[in-house]
Amino acid sequence: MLDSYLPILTLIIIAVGFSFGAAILSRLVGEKKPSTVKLAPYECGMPPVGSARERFSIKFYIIAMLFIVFDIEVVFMYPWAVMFKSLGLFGFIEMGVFILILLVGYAYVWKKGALEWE
Amino acid sequence: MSLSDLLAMLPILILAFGATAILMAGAWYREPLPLLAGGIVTALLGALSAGLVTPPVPEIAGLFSAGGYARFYTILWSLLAAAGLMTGSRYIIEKRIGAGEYVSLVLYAAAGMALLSSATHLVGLFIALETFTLAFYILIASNRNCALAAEAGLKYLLLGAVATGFMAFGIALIYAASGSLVLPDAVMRLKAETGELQAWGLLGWGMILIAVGFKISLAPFHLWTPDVYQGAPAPVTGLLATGSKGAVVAALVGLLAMSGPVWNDLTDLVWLLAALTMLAGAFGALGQSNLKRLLAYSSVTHMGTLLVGVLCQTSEGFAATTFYVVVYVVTSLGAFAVIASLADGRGEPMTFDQWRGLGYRHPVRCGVLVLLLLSLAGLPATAGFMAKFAVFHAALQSGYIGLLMIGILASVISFAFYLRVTMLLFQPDEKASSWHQGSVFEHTVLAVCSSAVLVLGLFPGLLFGLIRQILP
Repeated sequence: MLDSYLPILTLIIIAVGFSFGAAILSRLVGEKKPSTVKLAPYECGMPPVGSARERFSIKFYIIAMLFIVFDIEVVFMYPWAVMFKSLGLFGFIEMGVFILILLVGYAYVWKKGALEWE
Repeated sequence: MSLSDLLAMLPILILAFGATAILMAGAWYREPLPLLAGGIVTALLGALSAGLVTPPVPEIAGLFSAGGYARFYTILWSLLAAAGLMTGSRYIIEKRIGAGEYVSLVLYAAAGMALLSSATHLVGLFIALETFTLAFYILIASNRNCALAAEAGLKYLLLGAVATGFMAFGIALIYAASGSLVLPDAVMRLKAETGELQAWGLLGWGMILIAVGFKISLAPFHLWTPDVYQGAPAPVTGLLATGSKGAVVAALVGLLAMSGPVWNDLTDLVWLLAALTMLAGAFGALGQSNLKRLLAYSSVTHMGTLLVGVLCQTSEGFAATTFYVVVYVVTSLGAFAVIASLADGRGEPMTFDQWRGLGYRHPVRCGVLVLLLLSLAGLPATAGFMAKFAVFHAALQSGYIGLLMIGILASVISFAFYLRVTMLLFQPDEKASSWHQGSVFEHTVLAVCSSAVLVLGLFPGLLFGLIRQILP
């Protein structure tokens, strides 16, 4: 049974070998001419501005929390979808109740203004 | 889940749906008083439906009991929520805390406590415990302008998370050893096991005991109690000291009463915990100069005494413990309500300097506080005396003489600090300042608590008769 995973193992070995090989090879034989621009941290080609350790807005935390809450919802829906036929009407109603509870929470969050950025 | 299950769950449904409705209403409509009134009415309706509607099935979905014992505690915690909303009313209006959020969290907590006291399944136990603990995490830190409250909230959150971890691990071990999560069933199968599996089961019980220890602050796990009680607003502390601990003890008593003597192998451990808790609370309270911290240590001592009643594992011990829980809830709630009713723009009176001579400024409420403190100390003719007497009598009959002596020693020590506060209140002091006059709601709670303490102290048979009938 494990035989069927052999191609994946081969792929992993080739991928890891290629990336490490290329990195090591370029370090060994490559030419090095360091300059200030080359040594600067890479930021998508833009010139780096200031320190990375800035304080950021508390709004990000609320967004992150809401994301987790509504993301978990989907995690519950996948197994339900797989078992949809055997669970039948009961499962459908249960999932409806579950979504309804989250919907109430969503309405609360919306009304409280947690989704507004400004 | 059938219709009769839903009908049996009616009190919980009223609390939970009422809480959700008030939460949503609070998002649109910000007037605090109607929301508070709605919350109080919901809590009273919950209590009323638990008392009047006969459940058609004895057990709800195999998770929670709907028997008399469960109903009794549902009524108690619903009434506690109503009292918590009444004592917190002025506080949330003055501190501009969201009324919808406060009311709904208190009601959710009450629903969680009611479920916990009626759990017959380890998963039900876990869900219920988390329900009210989550509500308390927010309630404790609800005053966002107070650094102490934030500290208290964080401490409770961290220790609560640790306790939850122990609880989940303990449940997993018991399931691994017994193959069942239903409470009487799991216990029966564990008793039949021998060797390695039984050892795993015992380890599981030990883990659950640690989680319980954190929640009701038994001695080596009690260090969070004074800090959290001091930082949390007094109305919330009142709920935290009474409901969150009482519900756990109620679940413990229900579990042991249902499944017979489970703890035979853990008896020595529980003995040690009870003795340590009673002494640690009594000695800890002696050095305090802050009334809220003193009451925190006093609650530690009381939890130790409750554990003595649980340890007996006889029907008399269980009846005494249940009586003690009710008395402790009423008395402790009243004491924190006095603090809440005095709070004004300066905050709550906490240090002994602030309390000195207050008896002359606010004679009625300080008189009530003295009555409640004497009941906590266990002075005859108060309910606290009858409760302590019942527990110690049960301990004597079960042969725990050593524990009885330690309990009496702790009681004698605790007289010292309760009397110290009493004397402090009536020391002449020119500098004593006046505090808030208190609202009608707060005075109602105080009247109910103090009269309950007197009635239960003089006629304990009223409640004892009921408790003997409902014990599972």
